[in-house]
Amino acid sequence: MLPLHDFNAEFLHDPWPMYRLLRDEHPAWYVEGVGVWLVTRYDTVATATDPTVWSSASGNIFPFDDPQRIGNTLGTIDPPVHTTLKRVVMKAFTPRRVMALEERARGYARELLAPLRERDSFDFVSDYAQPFTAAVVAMVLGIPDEDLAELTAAIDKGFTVDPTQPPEERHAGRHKAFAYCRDLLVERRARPQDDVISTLAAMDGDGPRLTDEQIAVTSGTILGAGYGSTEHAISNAWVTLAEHPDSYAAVRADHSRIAAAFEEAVRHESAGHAFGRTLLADVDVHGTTIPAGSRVGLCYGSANRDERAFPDPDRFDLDRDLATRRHLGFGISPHHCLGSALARLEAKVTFEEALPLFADVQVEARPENRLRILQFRGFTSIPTSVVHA
Amino acid sequence: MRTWVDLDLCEGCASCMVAAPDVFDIDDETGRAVVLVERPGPDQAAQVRTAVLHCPVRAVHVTEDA
Repeated sequence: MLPLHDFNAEFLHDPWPMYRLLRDEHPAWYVEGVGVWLVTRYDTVATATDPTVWSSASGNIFPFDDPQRIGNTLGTIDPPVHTTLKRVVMKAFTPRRVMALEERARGYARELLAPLRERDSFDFVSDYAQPFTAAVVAMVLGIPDEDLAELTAAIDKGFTVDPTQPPEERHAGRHKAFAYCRDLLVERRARPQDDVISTLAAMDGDGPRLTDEQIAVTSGTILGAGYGSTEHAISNAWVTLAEHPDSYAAVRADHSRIAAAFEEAVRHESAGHAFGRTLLADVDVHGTTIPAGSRVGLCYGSANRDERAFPDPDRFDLDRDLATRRHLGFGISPHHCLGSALARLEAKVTFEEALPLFADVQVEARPENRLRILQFRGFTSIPTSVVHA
Repeated sequence: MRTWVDLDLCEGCASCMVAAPDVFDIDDETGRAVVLVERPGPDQAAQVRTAVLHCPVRAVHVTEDA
């Protein structure tokens, strides 16, 4: 039995041999106890794009999704409502806005890295990745700095869950984040600023409009997804480069390779690891019929290690050609990650600022520090020791 | 190198603009990508290839010169 029913830390630390077995022997596998079919091959995940079959309208984070999110944010609705909401959110969450943030994001990175220049060891998650990604997404949404600590604590409870956590605590965390965004919406409607919530609040006229609940829950979800998933994507890239000293040295010597290194790290250790759909029709997956009504987990992490798609998939390879065979670490249209441009910008700024400071980096990637969920892959803590440049 | 965008596929996410801001833009009227430089120079080639890679709907194309 797949040791997923209890989100076993040892399994989540090294799921790759099990994923390979599933891809080879059971490319559609019903996980008892979780009540979800896990699909693990690249071709299955890459083609699960038709929302009239692979529906998001019953949620996309199983088994823990929240009734309040259903219908109120991009990951939990199907077209045509999804198309409308996505158009509006994309207008507010513009890459132009993202590009304009680069210098401010760089400022946060420098501020957080400065004290680490005096230390031989630190925790990459709590000393850098967590506060950095939280500050950036807060800046995008327009959340004041002084509210951030309380809010990220609520998000941690609500989105980065532990299977032993009581469900009430999880719901309380999310509801606190949504309630905060609801209050901020009222405030921004009265006094608009140049941020996503103000832009969403101000949209009216002939174009599509969002309900206040959609704005609050969408903003809360952008906060949760934009902060947690990017924190883990950058952390996974940090661990991967530390564990591949030749690659670390190569990227450090040539910053134009940072983008490729981050992309390959997203493939190799996918932070956005598995998201859910509900089937509206029977689907045949390599000879197994998954019946209509089933919940399915699209395992991006496994698809990105599928040897049918990527030669030598367990190898971290800076020179891997991801242009002809793209990874699925940001999902795939129509639910492709809205924040991919922001995540890539944050990674670029992080490594451009951090690499010159440290000649060598050692990390302890411990199973007991693994996130004990399937939708995100990452760590609660990454003890790091460095040799200063 | 020549580059173009398939506007039937483009959703206006502007990943191309972020990857290669001198080569791609988003038309504020249509909400879709526009190509500013159809024949990017050698110094822009790497950025344009990144734009191809980052486009979530595979709408950005390049042909290399023979």
